[in-house]
Amino acid sequence: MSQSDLVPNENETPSTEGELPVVVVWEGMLAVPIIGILDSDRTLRLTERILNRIAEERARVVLLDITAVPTVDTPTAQHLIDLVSALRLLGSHAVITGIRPEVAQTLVHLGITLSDIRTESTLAAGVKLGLRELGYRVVADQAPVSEAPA
Amino acid sequence: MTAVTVPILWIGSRLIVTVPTNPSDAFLDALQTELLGLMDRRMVSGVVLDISAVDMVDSFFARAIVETGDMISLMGGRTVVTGLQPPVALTLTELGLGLGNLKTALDLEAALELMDATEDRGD
Repeated sequence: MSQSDLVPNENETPSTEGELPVVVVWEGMLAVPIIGILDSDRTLRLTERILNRIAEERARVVLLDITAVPTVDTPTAQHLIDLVSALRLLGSHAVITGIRPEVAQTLVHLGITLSDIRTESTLAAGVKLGLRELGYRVVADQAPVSEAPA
Repeated sequence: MTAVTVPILWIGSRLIVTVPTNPSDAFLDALQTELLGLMDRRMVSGVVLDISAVDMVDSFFARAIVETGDMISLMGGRTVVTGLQPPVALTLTELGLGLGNLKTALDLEAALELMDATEDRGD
């Protein structure tokens, strides 16, 4: 066995990357947990898959969760903006969730405010917003013990 | 350097923060960290920044609150500034500093009403 057989081919996609899942969280609502770095190749493949799923599921809301994206820099933000624009063309409403404090700080310091895109801190907040977009109202069955609901 | 305390009041899912007279740079940093931390850990729908005690502003102050407002917005919250003193508004205009995407209200009641209105609209 030569040395070259042991070295992974650079052109191959590393198996650890895998395909990102697109999950249905509610009728008409999809969630996409983005894990790892969002480069242009990956964005393109992901956009294609989400667009197909939107058509299949007749999804009106898509939650793009970036909790597991390690760094959000200018190119990453641009990929997200492109992704959202593509989803809008199908008439779907995109929400970016999982914006951590340090990501919010980085984006603002880079001068990116994503002002025409809905953004939320957590996937939970995104689901809540999505349900409202779909015309649902979340009402607690019982009054909570301590704090009033948001 | 002593630790800075940021006075934060909860009202429902919203926060009311009073900015002291002559806020130090350390206070503004602590304010940002504290608010973003709460946005992350709790379901905060909006923040009211009461700056009625502030009688002098510089570009650092203006930039700090505009940036904090943008960060809160990225994390899904709304920010309304209230209690802007007339001389402060004048200074900001003379310095050519706006308050960016921040919304302003005359008093606390108007600030909360403004938030009700934007929440009803769902944005």
